[in-house]
Amino acid sequence: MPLPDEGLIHAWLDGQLPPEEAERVERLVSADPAWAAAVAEARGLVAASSRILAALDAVPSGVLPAGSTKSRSAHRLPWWTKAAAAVVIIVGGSTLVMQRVPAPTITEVPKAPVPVANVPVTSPATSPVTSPATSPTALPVAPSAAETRRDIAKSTPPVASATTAKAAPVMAVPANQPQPQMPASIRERAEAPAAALAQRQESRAAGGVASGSAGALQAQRVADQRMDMQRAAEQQAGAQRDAAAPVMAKGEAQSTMNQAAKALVGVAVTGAPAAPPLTVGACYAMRDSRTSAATGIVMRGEKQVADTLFLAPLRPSLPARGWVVLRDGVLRGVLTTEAEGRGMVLVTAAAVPCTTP
Amino acid sequence: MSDTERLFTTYHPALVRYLTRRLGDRDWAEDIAQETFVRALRQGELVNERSWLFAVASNLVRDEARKDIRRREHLALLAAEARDAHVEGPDVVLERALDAGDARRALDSLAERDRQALLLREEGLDYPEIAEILGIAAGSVGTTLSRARRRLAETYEAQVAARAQRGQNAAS
Repeated sequence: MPLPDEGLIHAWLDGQLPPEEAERVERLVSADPAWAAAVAEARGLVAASSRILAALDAVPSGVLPAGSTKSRSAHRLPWWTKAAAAVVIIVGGSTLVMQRVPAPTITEVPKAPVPVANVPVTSPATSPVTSPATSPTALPVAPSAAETRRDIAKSTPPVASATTAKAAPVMAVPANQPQPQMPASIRERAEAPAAALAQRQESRAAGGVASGSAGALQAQRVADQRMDMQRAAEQQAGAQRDAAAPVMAKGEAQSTMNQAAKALVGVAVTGAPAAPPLTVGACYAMRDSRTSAATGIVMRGEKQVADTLFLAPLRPSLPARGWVVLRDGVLRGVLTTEAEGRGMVLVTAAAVPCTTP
Repeated sequence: MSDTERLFTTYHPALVRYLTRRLGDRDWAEDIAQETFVRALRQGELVNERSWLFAVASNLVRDEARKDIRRREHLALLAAEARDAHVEGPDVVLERALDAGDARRALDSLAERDRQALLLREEGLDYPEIAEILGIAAGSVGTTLSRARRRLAETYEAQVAARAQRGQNAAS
């Protein structure tokens, strides 16, 4: 009789042996008390292991230090990514301000105080982060650049409305023309490259995933390709804007920029301009994809990483989060709610106006 | 039911449980599970869905663990706090927390490969799938599991015995 083989016995108990081998072990267990004892012990170990591991299921959530879970992706960003993001944000913000300021040839400049004056912080002269590679202050400055971006976002709507309201007759902009979406578009332009960089960096960092996985490599290539396309589209849009700015009326310039921004969204998010875009800042109504029932939850696009739009609730008090991707022309994803014991549902999403239901 | 829904419905609970057991934090586990499904959706068709998902999740955990050892230190701190609190007067919740702490330390005492094999098997993966994820021969999975189960049970029992001893010392 061979001595009991623990590995073989565990494989037998787990039902992982081929039939002939299983029969052989069964005969040994029946005939040899040593094998029978080893099997009894192994049964005990299997049961004990399951019981011990089950004790790990009762862990609370949120036991990690504040911020370490939620802002993990931000911690991953290296300094040069933050610096690059800051540069893009500042350039984008400055461009926005320059486009918003009435041209000197217009005589009826509104005398009312326009919040444009609140944005000199975006002036290149006051922005040492434009040379992050040589500036030791690049890292500390990056967060304040993010603050600057928020300031721009906050201050821009008044700029737009004041300028449009006062200058409309002079600029011959039709009164019923839809308000340009530039703030959101600029934000998107500013954030998308940083997000793409972060995604690529993440993918590289996850070398274990990539190694030995042709699929992961393919995903990496697609991500790289998307970023290159996005850069090309940005350059093209910038060139169009630069060329048109001196001779173009303000409304025309805005229209061109809007078109460029829309093109960017199509390229960056879906790869197909005809597909419905995912947009940071836009709102989406969530529908349970299994029952097709409306959930009544409206989420706002918070952050975009490659083709995934991460969502935050429109009502900040709602304990929910989620994400969607575009598949076969449909926005699909997951909604996590903590209202009823952390439920997760598969959802489809449809763009809706950003109004609280 | 679309492929996306089927994939999620079939594997999400097991994947979150597996990750929760490995990481000791439900939020973190759900974040990793979410990232895993995002990658699966980007990937398109998967030949062996279960293996792929658990392999990607395992790799994400490994990469995260490399980057931030503070999390483990914090969990150890929580366990120490639970031990200290035990002297003051245990209740059901605390007892459960102590059990979880003992289980966590027992699991952490295993070699990485043994720990992973055990957790994957607990989620129902068969030996060839475990072998594929761990990069070992299918024939050695039984031996790996037997070693892991024995070590886990022995370490856990030792933890419980030590705790009981501490309780007696505190009482006397």
